[in-house]
Amino acid sequence: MDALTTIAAVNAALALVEALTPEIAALAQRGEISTDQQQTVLDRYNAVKKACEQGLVGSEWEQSNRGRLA
Amino acid sequence: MKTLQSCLVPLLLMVLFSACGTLAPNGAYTSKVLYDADVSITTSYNVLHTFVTWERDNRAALAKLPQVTQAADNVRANARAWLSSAIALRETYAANPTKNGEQALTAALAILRAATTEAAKYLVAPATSPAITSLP
Repeated sequence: MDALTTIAAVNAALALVEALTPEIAALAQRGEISTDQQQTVLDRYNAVKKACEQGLVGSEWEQSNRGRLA
Repeated sequence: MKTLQSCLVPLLLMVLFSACGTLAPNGAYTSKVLYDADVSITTSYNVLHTFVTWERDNRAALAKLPQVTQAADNVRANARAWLSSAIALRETYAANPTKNGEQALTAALAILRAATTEAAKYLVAPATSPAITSLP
């Protein structure tokens, strides 16, 4: 594996773990889900809802071939 | 590296399909269905966003795996529809919790989960692809 791809692979693993960490913590709560945890989930949901209403803007959401000649 | 894929994707599935725990009283939720739906929607958005961001940031390195960029473009084209559908059905169920509404919400979440699982697989693809791991 060349160095560039290795870096990409490591970045992907770190990014995925980071993305899942809050949800892994929620999963660990097998008993009662606290009011704080509930509020955190609701806040995050509202943030996602707002992002969708705004149309998922940002360069990461642009097609990879944007701007290329046909 | 192959262990990474065998661990992370099942973990993702476990998180997305989690139905553990009971709601403490006087919290933001009175419905476990809504709580679980919001966890799923949020997790899915996070993973999809992570996937497209990572693909953008590593596009040059992923040139040997064009299917990853194709998959990312597919997410870019459809993520808003997937998420908006799930959110709309979640809001409908919240306003009027019926059995039919719950079924429709469940179906939308299943679509979102399938897309998220696919994205997660591609996130670990560079680490396990024979095209990359084989020596020249």
